[in-house]
Amino acid sequence: MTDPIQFMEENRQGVSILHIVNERLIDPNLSDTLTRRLCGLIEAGTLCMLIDMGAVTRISSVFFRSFIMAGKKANEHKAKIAFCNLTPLIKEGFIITGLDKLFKIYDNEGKAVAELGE
Amino acid sequence: MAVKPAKFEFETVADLDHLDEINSFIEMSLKELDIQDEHYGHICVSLDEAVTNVIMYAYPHKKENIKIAIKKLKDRVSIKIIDSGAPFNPLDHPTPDVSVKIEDRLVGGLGIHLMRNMMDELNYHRIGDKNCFTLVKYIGGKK
Repeated sequence: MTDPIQFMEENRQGVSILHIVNERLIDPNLSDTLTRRLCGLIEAGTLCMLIDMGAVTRISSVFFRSFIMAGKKANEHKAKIAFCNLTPLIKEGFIITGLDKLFKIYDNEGKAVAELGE
Repeated sequence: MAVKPAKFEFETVADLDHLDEINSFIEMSLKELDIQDEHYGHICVSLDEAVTNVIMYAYPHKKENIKIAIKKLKDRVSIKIIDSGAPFNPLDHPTPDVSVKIEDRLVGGLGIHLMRNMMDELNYHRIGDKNCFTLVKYIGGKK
């Protein structure tokens, strides 16, 4: 069995930062959990979310689907979702699937918080 | 004398419970075949997609097997994925429009889109009662 999806959450300067702890996001069962978590945060009033992908080395398309669904939810709620710390392979996946056009991508958390924060 | 291609094969039940086992086989095989860096990443991502497709959709009722064969030839790596589910050609799936705004984005079809972009050849054949999906990566540069 694959490990359950794990997050660490913190808030810095008004930016809700979600650190994904899992190294691999492949199991489709975990993508439902991710979608629910992201959409739940938006519905609960999060206006600016930064997803830290630094620990993730592999990701499958069902998780890109989760990000798109969360992006739709954020759009409805006039909230923002951004990403940081993408490995070159994951960044390539974002570009191929057009997610780089839907979400702002930052090299690191510091740059992201400096631009997105209050 | 012709060099015999290096080949690894693995067969197990197509079930999410076996996903880690399948991934371990793929990673071990690619390392043994000395596939590195960008090629390694592209093959792993594409196989994640192809294997997950079989696990999720090939056997809606009773789970049967998935067979994976990874072969390195002089200038390419060829991976064959075989299942005995209902006929299903993943290449029939239309290319998603990844340029539209978020409110218009459809969420399906991204897996085959990733495979098309990360591999050099994708081929599907129905052989007898089996789906046979082949992914090829040129490791000496794209042809």
